[in-house]
Amino acid sequence: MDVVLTTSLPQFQHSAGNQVKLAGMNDETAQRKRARWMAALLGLVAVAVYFGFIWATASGF
Amino acid sequence: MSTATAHEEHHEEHPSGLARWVFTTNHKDIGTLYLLFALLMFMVGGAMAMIIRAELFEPGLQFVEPQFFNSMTTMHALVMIFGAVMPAFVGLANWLIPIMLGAPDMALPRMNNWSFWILPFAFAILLSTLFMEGGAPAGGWTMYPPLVLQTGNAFPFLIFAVHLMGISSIMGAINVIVTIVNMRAPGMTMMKMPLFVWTWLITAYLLIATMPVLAGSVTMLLTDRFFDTSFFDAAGGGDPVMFQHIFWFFGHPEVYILILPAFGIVSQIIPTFARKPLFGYSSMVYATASIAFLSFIVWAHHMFTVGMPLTGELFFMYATMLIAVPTGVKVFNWVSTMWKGSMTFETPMLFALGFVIMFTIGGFSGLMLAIAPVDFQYHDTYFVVAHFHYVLVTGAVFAIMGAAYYWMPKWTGHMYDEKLGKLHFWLSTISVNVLFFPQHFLGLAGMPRRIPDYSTQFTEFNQMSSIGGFAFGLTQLLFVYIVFKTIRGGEKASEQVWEGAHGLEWTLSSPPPYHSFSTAPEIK
Repeated sequence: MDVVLTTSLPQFQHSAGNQVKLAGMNDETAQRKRARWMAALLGLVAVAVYFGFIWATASGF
Repeated sequence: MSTATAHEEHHEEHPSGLARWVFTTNHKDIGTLYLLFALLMFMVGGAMAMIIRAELFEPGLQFVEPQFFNSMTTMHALVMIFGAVMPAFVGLANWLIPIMLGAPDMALPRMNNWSFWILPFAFAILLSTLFMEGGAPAGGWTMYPPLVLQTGNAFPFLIFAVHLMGISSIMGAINVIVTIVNMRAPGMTMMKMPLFVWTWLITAYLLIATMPVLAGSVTMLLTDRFFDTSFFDAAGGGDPVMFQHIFWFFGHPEVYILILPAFGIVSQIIPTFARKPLFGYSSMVYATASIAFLSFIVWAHHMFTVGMPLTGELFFMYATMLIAVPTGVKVFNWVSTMWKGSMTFETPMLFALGFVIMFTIGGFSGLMLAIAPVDFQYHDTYFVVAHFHYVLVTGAVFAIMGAAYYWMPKWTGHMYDEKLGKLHFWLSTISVNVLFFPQHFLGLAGMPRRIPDYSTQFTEFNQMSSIGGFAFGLTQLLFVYIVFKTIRGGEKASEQVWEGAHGLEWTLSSPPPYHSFSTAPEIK
């Protein structure tokens, strides 16, 4: 079903770049692949913060 | 005026019965699970609050032992923060972020299922400690050593439950970030995103940065208790004050984790009912980011009385006061949005207005607490209790209730009962102020927090507060009734629901199809 969305959402109007399609945005597989990599990196950041704080406390910072 | 085209495919087939909810990877189902879980925990935490207020109705010991009273204050906080407010916001994020961005679902649906289903187990473990030898944790939600190390058999269960809550939150936050960054519909640039999405994006970064800090600190408590380490044991060369620094490095950003999504909700509701675009969209985004940044450099304002160098006190005092600037920008923008707007006062707008006024009261008492020399008088008194309840109840909880009324017609396809909604708002607003406003006076007069007994001169204000508490508690049963009445039926809601609402979610049917935006809409 085709739905034509008509909106006056204010933030839709003021951005000069609002005609630009974001890279990869219409390929759901590519989106999810990139999302998985990003999630893995963010997970690593969380693990690093966890052990980093324990290490820093142990070393008496 | 701009246009976008969406190709909608309605796949309504989905599993039914228990399997639908246990194995679901659908963002709407998971959002519903989060919201219902939060409502349940709100009731559990509320029951604990009723016990606290019943005991404090009169001086002396009435109903419970002091140890159990302290368990109630500790568990009430843990349940309300990690079981009610945070899951409610994650539920809203699940329901709304994909349909606000034109995405078919969250980026990582299976992890989304895990994020939710860890929570009931975490809280089953936490609540099971109420029945253990030595009782439930009673050392406060802050879990300061050495006091918390005196907890009985409940201690390792508390630590395990906190780890599980942290894992759930981090997974939820990762999902939110990767969804927003990767799954936006073509043309949905960052500065076109609805403000609720922006506030959640920033909140998710705060969660990833701070939840591991909490997890690390409680892991160290565990090893201090069971594996002979001395991270926080002075006798072994450790430092108990270090725990407080680490805890509040998590704890203060946590406060903003609990309030930034509320800012986002209010920024969605007010323009709708003022029938005007949000005033200062980009300044709202930058103010949210500024608040998030500042939240990392103010933690020691919770510890002024612990002892620190004067320069430290001054730094944390001024840095804390600085937060009033971006927060003021937000309040100014909300008021400016309403200025000369064609306002109507449906229930969501009432809750949003209540939020703006009463959250600001909480903000002002926060400024008072930020003044280091004066904090020595207020610290650990009921003034602090009044302050954070204004921020978290009339702030976060009111925003969540406003959000429930605002989007419930979209979620269920039915309009809620407007008369009952307004009755709920007014009863809540009156009772919550009777509950918490007198606590400012109690605190200023010197009544300490976390005690089951008090001197007789505090009786009247405590009785007033307890009456307000019972009334607020009863009023929330009305909210539960309204929610389930709306789920079961009522006047059919249109797609648009609210005349002044803008955004992709309002282009979907009410309720939206099980799979929405299977083909991305294009925003031009």
